Amino acid sequence: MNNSLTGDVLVEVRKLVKHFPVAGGLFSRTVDYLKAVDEVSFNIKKGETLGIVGESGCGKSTLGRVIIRLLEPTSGEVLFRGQKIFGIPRKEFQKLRRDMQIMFQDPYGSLNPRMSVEKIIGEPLEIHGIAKGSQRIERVKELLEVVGLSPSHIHKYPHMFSGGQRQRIGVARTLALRPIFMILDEPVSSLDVSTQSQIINLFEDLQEKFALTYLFISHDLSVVKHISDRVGVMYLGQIVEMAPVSKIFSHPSHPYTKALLSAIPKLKPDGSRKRILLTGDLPSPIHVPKGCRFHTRCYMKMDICVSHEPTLMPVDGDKEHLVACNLKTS
Amino acid sequence: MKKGESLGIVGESGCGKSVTALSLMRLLPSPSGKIEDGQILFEGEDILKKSEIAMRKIRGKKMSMIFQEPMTSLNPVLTIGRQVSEALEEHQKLWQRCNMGKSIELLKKVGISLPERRVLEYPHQMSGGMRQRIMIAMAIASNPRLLIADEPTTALDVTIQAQILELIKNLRREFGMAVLMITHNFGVIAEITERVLVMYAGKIVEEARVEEILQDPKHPYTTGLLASIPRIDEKKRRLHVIEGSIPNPSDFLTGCGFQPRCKYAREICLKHQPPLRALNGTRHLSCWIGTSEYSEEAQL
Repeated sequence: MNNSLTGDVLVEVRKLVKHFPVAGGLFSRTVDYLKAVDEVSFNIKKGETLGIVGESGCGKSTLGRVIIRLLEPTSGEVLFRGQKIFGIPRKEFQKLRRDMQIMFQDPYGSLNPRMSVEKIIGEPLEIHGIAKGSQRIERVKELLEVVGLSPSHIHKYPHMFSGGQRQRIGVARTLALRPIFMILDEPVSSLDVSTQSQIINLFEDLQEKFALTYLFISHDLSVVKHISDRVGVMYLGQIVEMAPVSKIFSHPSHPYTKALLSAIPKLKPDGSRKRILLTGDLPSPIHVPKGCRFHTRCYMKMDICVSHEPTLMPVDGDKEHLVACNLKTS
Repeated sequence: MKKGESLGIVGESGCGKSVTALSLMRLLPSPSGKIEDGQILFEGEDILKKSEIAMRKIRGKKMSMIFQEPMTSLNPVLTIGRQVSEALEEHQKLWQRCNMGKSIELLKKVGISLPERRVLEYPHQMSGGMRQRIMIAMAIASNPRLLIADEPTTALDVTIQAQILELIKNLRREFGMAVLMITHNFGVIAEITERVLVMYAGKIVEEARVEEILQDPKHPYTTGLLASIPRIDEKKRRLHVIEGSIPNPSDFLTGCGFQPRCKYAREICLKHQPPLRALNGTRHLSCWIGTSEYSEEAQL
């Protein structure tokens, strides 16, 4: 991936690593490291939605948090509009941070119950010194309308809203600073199906209206397929396959992606495709298997997989479709 | 439910599906939850009339239940072997020593590797999928006639969910037990059940065989719900939105519970609750659409 020179790349992630120390023993010394994100590289183009899927513990949420510098990386680089975001002074970063926002899963935990809607949405405006007083109230009302809530809600508190409405308030808050890049971390996972579709449609409308770029993190493949232009599949801290959405769902290449796709219960059961049942559980990210990380659960394992760790390579010369699997490279 | 049948109850949060399941087991929290009226016939006998002692002989033995949270349903301070053999002791009056052997056998049946070692371990040493397998092992310990599964895979990852659904299917085939699957996920319903009840605001709004419901839903709520799910097996389209939100269970509505969100609602829907009427042998519908009362009404 060296198209960093082309103008349409908004975010560039280069060999990003995030390890968390694991304390243990008598004096809580660091005895090991949890490898949440382990050398991940990719680009996000302006205006696209990049979906990241993976099971719990694969590091997808940590990835989102490091990209927006809520967590400092162990090593690696993230470039936003060509500008480094790590290792620059806080003040300077704050200016960049306006344009990049993150939104979380839990509509109950992420809104302060003691703050009114006006305060919740207006707070970022105040922090960044953008709007004050009546100007701020006007902007909050405007934002409420953008996310499909009545401006009359402005003096209410979070407990007075349903889960879907709270998620809309969260969206309004992230939009307050007119960002161009949004990280959405499982934003619809805690919602019921009928509410989920409302919020997904809202994200699509906002993207069109404000030319937003999304990094959409989710464990739900159906939702990711619906909303994304490109998809990256994560397993144990690494991206094992990345491709445009149509390719990854019609021609999955990595054995893990294939298993993941076949595991989703379908509404129209087709007898033709056989389900691939993976045996066992996800290994601990503290003791990552040597060689290919997936080899302990892989049904296509070869001898080489135990010792040789594959890297992301184009599938049949297709530069858009990358896979990290020894089957494809040997 | 027939003997050996697999029935699904599907609905969104607050529709009453879990309360229905807990009522079957007579596990509603008392005194806040009380069964006001109605009957629950299990093998021809009304279990609501049974004493608590008689109920204990049914619960866990003839009818057992697994829950969504495999993390919190196990006792953290007892070994897996102890907990599984407790389920056996209660209902099979086996001595504890013979129990360990039987427990190991049960764990093997639910697909736990190295069961001899696992019986000596504690719940925190297991993953979510394994804990759910252990819950299932305990639930099937006494060959129940009915297994109630309340969102058993909601907390699990898709690959683990597929393993658990496969296990439930196989166990049902092997033991001929009936399965009542309670879920919000139509995919799980399609995968595992033969017949479905759709619930909304505490009522059954539609009942049909699973193929019928997926191909030709009749109730506006079922239709809307199916259209609002992003599908992996279909081309991208704009998701359908059911306007409004789920009513609060404490708000009593006259008329049809879905009427405030229904675009087909007419005068009669506001005034009268639609009865659950039979469409054919297997289908039932609670909606005024298609009745003569509805066609005579003016549009709202």
